Amino acid sequence: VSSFREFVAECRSHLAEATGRTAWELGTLLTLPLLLLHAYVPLYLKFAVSILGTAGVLLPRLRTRPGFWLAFAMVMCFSTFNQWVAADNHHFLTSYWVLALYCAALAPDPGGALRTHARWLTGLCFLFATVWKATTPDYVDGRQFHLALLTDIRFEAVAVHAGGLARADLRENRDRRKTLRGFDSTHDAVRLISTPRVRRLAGALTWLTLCIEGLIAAAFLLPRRFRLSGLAHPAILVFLVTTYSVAHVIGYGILLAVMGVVQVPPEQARTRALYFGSMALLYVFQISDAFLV
Amino acid sequence: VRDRLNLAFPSALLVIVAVTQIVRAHTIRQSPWKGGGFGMFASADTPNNRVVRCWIVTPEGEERVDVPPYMDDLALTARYVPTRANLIRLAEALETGKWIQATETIPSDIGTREGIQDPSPGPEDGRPGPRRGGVYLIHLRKGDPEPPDAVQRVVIGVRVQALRLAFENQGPALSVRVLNEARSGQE
Repeated sequence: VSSFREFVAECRSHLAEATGRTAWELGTLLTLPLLLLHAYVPLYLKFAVSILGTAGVLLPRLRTRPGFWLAFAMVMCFSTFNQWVAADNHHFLTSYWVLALYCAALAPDPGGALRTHARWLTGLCFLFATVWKATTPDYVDGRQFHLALLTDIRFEAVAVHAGGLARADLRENRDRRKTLRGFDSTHDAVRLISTPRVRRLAGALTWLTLCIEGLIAAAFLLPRRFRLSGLAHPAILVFLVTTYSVAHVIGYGILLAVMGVVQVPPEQARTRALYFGSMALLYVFQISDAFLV
Repeated sequence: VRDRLNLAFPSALLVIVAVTQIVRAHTIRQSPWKGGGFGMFASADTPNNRVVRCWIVTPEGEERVDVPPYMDDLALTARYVPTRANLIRLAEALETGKWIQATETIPSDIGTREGIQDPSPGPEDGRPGPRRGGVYLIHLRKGDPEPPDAVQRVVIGVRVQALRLAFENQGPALSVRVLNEARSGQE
């Protein structure tokens, strides 16, 4: 019992130490493991990322040098834009974030500059996500989430437990789609198995997602004098925990959490701790991937 | 001024790339999910719902073929950005090399990167495999060993279609819609 108490006390002191760091320290320290573990780079650039990332972790003074972040930004931007057709949105956002670290390192107040970059990048990313969703007919009428629930393996647990679909039906849906995708397919259309509950669920997910993403965009982009901006951190924390419990894009989740936590002043230790907790949760959510067939 | 430029640069780059992607998605049908416009989960037109179908044009008629794995990058570009230029690039690549007809003695995995590890693939993973009642053509690159009893097919052109699987709530059903089509060769 005493050793458990010591363990808890040790954790608390580490957490207090982490939550008390400056925005710049937090931003640089948390970005390096993110890049080392989740950077989207081709094999021939992995070596460069590993060398730069490890050097950054081991040599604290390096993390304050603009040249270090410029080198990292060049590697990340080259990697993303060289394969931009196939690159996912969070690969772009990661590149912009590393570029922001370089730009902030050049500023007279790196921490303040980094907070501004984080706020704008988060807000703009969610603004474009909201614009895309609000203007796409097959999103607004619920087709996107309906299809995801019927065929996307990441949504299987939601479709089964909340939508009432059998796992066998979902496997059948995926098989039917595979049939249509086959190079020698002779089909022009296939029916999928659904239930009215799944359709209602898709409608709810559609509007919940649109609302929370729109709220995050507004809360981060509106000037601080608007009361809505006070909802920025609660909204993004809810988004992190709900979205990434289903879609395990861990690199995206951690990046959003890093950009979120640097915007929290050190005196709001509880909010910072919630961000750390959400980062840990994102890894916990991934455990279920091991059971996906 | 320099400090302000530094402060604006990453966000400005985000906006430029995102606006470009949105324009391209609406004009040349670039995938909404890819390319930095933040359109992930914004459309049922997902990367998995885009496919390319290819036909080798021979004097005897058209034969549908699979894209060999070493042309995956070209096929991926044609799926995500289905412009005529990208489809023709894929068609021209398919036109090079030799196409031989799969027979019972020629393993169907000759033209695949996985080689012998995937000896009897079917439509599950999109790789060609000889089955009853169908004619399956296998691509050979320059330098690939040619089986002794291979029947080479004369290729006079290639037709490539980029398709999306459109989803309708009624049914619900997935159906094939052509995004673009292109041909290469001397047809």
